[in-house]
Amino acid sequence: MKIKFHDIATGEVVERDMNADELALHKIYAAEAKALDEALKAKQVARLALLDRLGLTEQEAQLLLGS
Amino acid sequence: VGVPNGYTSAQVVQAVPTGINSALVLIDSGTLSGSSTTFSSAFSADYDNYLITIDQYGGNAASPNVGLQIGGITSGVYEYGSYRGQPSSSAGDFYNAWNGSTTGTSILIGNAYNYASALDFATSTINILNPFKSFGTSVFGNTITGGDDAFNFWGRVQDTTSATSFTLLTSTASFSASPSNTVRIYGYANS
Repeated sequence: MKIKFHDIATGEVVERDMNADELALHKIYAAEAKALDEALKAKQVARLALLDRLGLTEQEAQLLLGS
Repeated sequence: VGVPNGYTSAQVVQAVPTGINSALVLIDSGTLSGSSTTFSSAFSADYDNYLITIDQYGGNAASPNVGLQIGGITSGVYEYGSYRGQPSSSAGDFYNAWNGSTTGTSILIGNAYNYASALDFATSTINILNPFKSFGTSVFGNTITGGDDAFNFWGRVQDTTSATSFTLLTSTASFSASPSNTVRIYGYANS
């Protein structure tokens, strides 16, 4: 896994392998991103289930809610 | 200076007088690579506010998130919200309706939540207000991807430390060119 640094003052650009701390931070961010994705997917599933119970399509729901 | 066709010599500006300032000044440009790219010495007393544009970039895997960190701070200060729309289906949703806490590791500026699409052909504009000042920084902007995702974001850095750098990070292994991957950093002239 690579990390890059671009110093605007000097023009120096360095790309290197992540150290252990940087890799740990990347894993935290990746887990956070996955949790956000899963939350949105769960919300979408719940919305479709509710529409199904109401007998509405997504397009009809958008018309109803004005979105 | 040569005289272009259709002009007389009297109509040709020979030099730009000193004291004329552009409203938007290009500070530097670069590219994104690795899973994290930091631009240091980006913010200074020269400008209060900044515009970052990123042209045509992507991630190396499907559905990456892209985050923004200010001043090398990796957690504990970022509040953000975002609204995501899919033009192809007219569907839209608050991806994160202002988290109201500082639990995140960055301000989310892009996501390709489209079940399988990659963050390809993405373009972002990011406004960063007062990062060099010793009070909280505000951020707003948008990201549009080739996967029919439009993403508006806004955020706040709850930290009063003057910052000189910013970092863009992706949840996947690396950023990619799709196809150009050009970052431009501009300063808004203060006067």
